[in-house]
Amino acid sequence: MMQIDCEAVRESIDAWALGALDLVELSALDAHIVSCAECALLADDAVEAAASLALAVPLFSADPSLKARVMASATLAGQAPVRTQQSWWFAPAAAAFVFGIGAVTWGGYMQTQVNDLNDREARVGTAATAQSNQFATMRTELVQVSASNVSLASNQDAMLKIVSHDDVQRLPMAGTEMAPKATGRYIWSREGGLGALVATHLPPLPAGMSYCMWVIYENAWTNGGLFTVDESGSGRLIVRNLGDAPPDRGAFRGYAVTIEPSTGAATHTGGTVLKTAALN
Amino acid sequence: MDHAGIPDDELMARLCRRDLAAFGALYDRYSDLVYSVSLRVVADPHVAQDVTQDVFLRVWRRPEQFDLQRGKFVTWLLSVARNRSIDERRSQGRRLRREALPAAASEVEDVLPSTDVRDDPALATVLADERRAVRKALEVLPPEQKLAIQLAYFGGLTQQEIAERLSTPLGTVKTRIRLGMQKMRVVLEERRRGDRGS
Repeated sequence: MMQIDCEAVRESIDAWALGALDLVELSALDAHIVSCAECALLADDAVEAAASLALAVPLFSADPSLKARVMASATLAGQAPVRTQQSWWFAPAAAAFVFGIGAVTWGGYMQTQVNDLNDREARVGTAATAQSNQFATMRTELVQVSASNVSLASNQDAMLKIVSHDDVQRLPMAGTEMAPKATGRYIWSREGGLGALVATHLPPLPAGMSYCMWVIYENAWTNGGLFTVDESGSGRLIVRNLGDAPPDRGAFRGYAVTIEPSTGAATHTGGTVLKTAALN
Repeated sequence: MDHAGIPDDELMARLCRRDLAAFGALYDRYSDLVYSVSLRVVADPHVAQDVTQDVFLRVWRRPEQFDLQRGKFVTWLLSVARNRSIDERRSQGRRLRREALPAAASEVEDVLPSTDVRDDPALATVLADERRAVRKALEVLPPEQKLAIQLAYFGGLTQQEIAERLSTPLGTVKTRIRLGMQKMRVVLEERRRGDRGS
């Protein structure tokens, strides 16, 4: 699948917001945006600018009888049970998430790390015998980074899979008083059985602690997985594997991120740093 | 009950509680705008009315789809109207083959009367200011940039389709859209800063 970098996104973000990209470009850009907090902000601005174009249209009045038709239809529709967010989530919630944890890092970032390690490796190579132990250590790190790149490719594939589905949904998350600058978004596809959380501007974690994502139901919080953040406070989590739902969980309420021990948590114990608007 | 002056967000909150009067107020407030956006895209008053009805019924049935954190209600509503209209335009195929033209050349504008009637004068003023600002921002664009943007947004064309339609290199179309939108954003931002400063 086509992959693009931040520079390419900046070139195409307005066309994306206007709906003027072809499907291949669209998928690639969607995948990048959900994985890059900076480009996600650009995307929000571009969407706002594009949407404002609708305000420029010459103004005309619809037929006055249209209101009567609309209100009559709404009255009929209003007799049906009220639909809430539960309705679109209820089906996938028939199977609760059993989450796999994706410690996700990104291409550019990882490539930089590889390059840095290559440079360091070269320097170590010229430092002769006295630094041979350090050289060996760095080689080990390089292998680890390479392994991370394999993981990265897997996670990017997951992102692309999510956005390639027609039922892809996005839900923004906002920081709480504990992390007022934090923002995030959760994107998922019920068809694909995959979700991805992208968070940014989260505070540094205390030693031994991780961020934990939760799926909130009326009667239960379901653990979605642990993740950490980089120096800028950005973190990502790929959510895989749909499992069976607890039968008495109640209605879906939203998502939240808390701080929990890195060893894991069966129930939420730490303060909430991010949450969706659906949560009270 | 008089809903004048009640913010959109509050009306939407009432909508979630199945308040039909709030729904009626939102309809009164924005139906002309929704209809006008649809008309601009589909160029058929009857189809535009059907789209308008669909859009408002969608708001009634699924009010939770509007997320306050992602922007203003009117922006969201008009995006829904635009996208629904583009879908309709595509599904109409040949019957609506007449692609979006620059506003000045639109037949629709010449045959239908314009109106600024609103149930809520204060809101109408705010919207009128915003509408005027966007139109001014578009006016400063070179015609070729404005045309490319309009063909994309109101015509639902991809950059490749615009290039073919205008017999212009794809790269040129991309540049026109990018520069045009950048320029528009700058003008709108300057206006917002001016509003805040005054």
